[in-house]
Amino acid sequence: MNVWPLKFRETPDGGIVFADDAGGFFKSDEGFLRRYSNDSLNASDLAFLRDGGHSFGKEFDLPWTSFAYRWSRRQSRPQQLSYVILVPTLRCNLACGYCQVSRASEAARGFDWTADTLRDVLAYLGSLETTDIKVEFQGGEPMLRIDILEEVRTFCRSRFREAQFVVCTNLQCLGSRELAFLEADDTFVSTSLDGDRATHERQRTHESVRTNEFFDNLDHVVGRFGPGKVSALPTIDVDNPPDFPALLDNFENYGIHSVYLRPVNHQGFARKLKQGTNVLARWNRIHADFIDLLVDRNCRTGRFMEEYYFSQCLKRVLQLGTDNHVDIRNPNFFASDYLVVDHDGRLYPTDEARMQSRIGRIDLSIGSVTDGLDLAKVALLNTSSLNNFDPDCIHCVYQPFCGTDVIDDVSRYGRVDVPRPDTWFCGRHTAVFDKVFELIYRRDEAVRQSLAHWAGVSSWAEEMAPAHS
Amino acid sequence: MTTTLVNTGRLRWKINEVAVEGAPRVGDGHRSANRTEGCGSAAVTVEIAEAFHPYMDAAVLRLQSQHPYASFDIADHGIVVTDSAGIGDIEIRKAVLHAVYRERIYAETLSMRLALVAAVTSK
Amino acid sequence: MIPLRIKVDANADEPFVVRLRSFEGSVAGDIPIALDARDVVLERVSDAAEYRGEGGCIRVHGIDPSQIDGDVLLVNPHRGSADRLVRASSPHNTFLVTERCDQLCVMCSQPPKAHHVDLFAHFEAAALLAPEGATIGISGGEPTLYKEELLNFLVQTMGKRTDLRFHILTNGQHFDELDMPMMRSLERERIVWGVPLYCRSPEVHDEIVGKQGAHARLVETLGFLCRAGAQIELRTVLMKRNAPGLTALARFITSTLPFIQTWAIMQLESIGYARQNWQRLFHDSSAEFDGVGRALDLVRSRGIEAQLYNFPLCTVPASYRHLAPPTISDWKRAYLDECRDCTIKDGCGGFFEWHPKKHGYAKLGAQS
Repeated sequence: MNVWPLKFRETPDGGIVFADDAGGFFKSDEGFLRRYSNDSLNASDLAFLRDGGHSFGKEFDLPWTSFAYRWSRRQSRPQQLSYVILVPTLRCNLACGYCQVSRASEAARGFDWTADTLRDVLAYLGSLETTDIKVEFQGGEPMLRIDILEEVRTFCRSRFREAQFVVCTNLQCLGSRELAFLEADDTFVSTSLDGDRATHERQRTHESVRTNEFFDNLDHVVGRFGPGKVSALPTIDVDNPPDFPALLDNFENYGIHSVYLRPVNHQGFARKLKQGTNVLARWNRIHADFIDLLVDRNCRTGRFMEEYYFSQCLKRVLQLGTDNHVDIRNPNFFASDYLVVDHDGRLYPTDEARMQSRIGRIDLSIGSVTDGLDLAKVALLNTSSLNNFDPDCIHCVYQPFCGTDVIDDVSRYGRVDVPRPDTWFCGRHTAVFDKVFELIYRRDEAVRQSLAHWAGVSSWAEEMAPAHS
Repeated sequence: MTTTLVNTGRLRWKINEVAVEGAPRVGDGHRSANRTEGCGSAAVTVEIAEAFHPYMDAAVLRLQSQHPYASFDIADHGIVVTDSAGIGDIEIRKAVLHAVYRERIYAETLSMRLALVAAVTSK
Repeated sequence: MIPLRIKVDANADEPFVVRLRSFEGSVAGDIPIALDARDVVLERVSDAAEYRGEGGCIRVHGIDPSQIDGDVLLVNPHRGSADRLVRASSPHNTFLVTERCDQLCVMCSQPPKAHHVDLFAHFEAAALLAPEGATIGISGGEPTLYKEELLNFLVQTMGKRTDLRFHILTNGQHFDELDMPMMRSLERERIVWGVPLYCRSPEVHDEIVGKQGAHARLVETLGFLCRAGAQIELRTVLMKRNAPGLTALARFITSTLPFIQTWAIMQLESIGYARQNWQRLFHDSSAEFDGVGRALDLVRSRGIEAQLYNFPLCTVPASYRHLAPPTISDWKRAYLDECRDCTIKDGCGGFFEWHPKKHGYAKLGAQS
């Protein structure tokens, strides 16, 4: 019997989590690890490994085929471009503390699509092969150019079989034209809601009149269009986090049950490692505590909320082909299924790449709507976009569930070949997956209820978490 | 009297009470490692079974990068760790053994991985 | 119950296939559909409905012509009847390829017979006349006992009608590596292979299907089907014998059969052998659902689709009802008297027409 290579990691309770390259996982102990490493597995070990799909007899037999299938499904495949982020303007009517590098003031000139850019963008969209499209409008504040949004939407509706639109707006200014635009069934709102009112004001709106404006508009949109229309994301300052129970109450109040916690991303390469580590450790602590808070709250109220990224990572552990979130998948090829079109018509692989280029650190543009994609540059970025044979990742138990973020590495360290364990991306994801596995192997009822909901099943039972002793 | 880790053939270690004349007394909490004091740095020897010897070089390289404040050297029967800056003996042992396990697993299964990739990507 | 066989007179020596056009010129909107050589048009109705065309002349008795418009019949002149191979108004059309089988399942709804009549030529003709986008079931006995004819039929039909889809039931005992090129040539998205697997344990599975070594052979075939890129609907009829092993089977699916499209856990159909052995076989899932629920949850937690076929909704706990779509074919579906005022009847597939009066469900009844 051949056993596929197993990666392993100790857990705080003294156990060891194992996983193969296809993401088949189980929990065991140091004794099993010793037997495995020493080539002295006993009959019980072998039976367990066989039942769990971790071994095969010969190439192309059913167990081999199944493993090959599961491994293949874990690799994210190149897709047709069908999701575009459009930045029609960099101007904004807010000055959020954490966004200073990207926005331009409302009165500034030269930060919008020109008529030519709009024409080229539409031509570029028209040239796409996909039958369906998702368009996300970002900025600055995209609603400042409602005219461009209307034109793009009209074009896409006729050009594509199915089109969906998301407007990432600060909801500060909603006139009748803006509301009419949002009314459509194919159009959704994504906004920022930084927890409780006080935090939101401190970080984003700064003045109570503007804060009132935001919450009034949010009330109005949710009330008029229903909760399914709006999603909201909080940005968390590690140094000054919000009142999290109040954050959850607030989100639930607006009918939003999925909360995607994101830390403020301090740009710049000048951070020393120590300081970086400290922020990372604090963020990991905040996030882990938030999950515990959620579990407790869900159990108490019987109404289930989730932290979006945690749920995504949970699904990546449990299921194959969960590649829908562009920040976590492997390989994470650029310019595959989505692209960013900036205020000047230049193309970027991700929004962060756009921001990096904006602050002048490094030009990560990969073409323009006029000239098309710079395939050579895309290929260059893509060479580091997979983790399978990275010298650190290959030993990591979380490798099959994890991904890469070349742009984040560049933004923080100025290079893509920093040893994985020294990167924010690795530190962040190790912590998230540690938490995922902690919950998977916890036995209390409250955790099981939340896990069931987040995994999309009716109940969570013992057999969901394989273990061997 | 010191206690040493003894390799009993496969990679199992047991604690042996061995009378060694003149050897410094080992302090509390360090029962299970061979530690010699001297020159201000404490050395811990982790015995490694022969089957794992081919992988010690690669393991030490990795250990060095993961624990830059410690020093790892290859001796006849194992890996000697010095200057481990307050990392407990049990942690050192685990770190070293796990590193060696990983290198062996990697080396001995690399052909399986390559064969899998070749099989699923072939036309 | 909807009749699948109708009384038909025809002046011919051999069986033949026709398509009925009950509305003259059969128009879709204002555009007349061009007549096929096998189309017969309703000319008059007296004591029977008279159809005429290039395909011949037939007289259909005992059924309203408007109900059979577009139907494709296999007319058997000697028997004086015709089988409605394709009912144009129904999504449930199945070609019975053979009544022979190499297994003898304890609950078989179509107990095997020794003789076989090759109808593939008729099936091909009938498939080509099916409505646009139809899904045609292929069943038996065991269709792959005539594997070569079956594969040729698929290649021909799918080549000429690029809109047709097939759902093929097979016990997976007769595929081998030599079939790989042909299997790979079939368009993956348009065929679903319905393959039964009753238990993780070879002993229990073999006992249920009445054939030694069936489990081992089947497991090999499942690997073959994966490599052929085939879509698989894994089917497990729930019975007393295999109910306890459902979770182990679920674990086997997640670790070793993750490539299936769907796992269908099916309630017993009281016909054929199942009817004779009802008390011994029937597992009352309304009283004992826990094992079923856990099996469903395990498989679904791993992202594999799982469904309940032929489970009346009232017998399923509320949190699992969304996994129980209406699956009983229209021609054999019925509801009980107590279903009349049920608030969830519309989403429920009801019972089999021949469900025994002593149905065996402890928990049953209209939901309010």
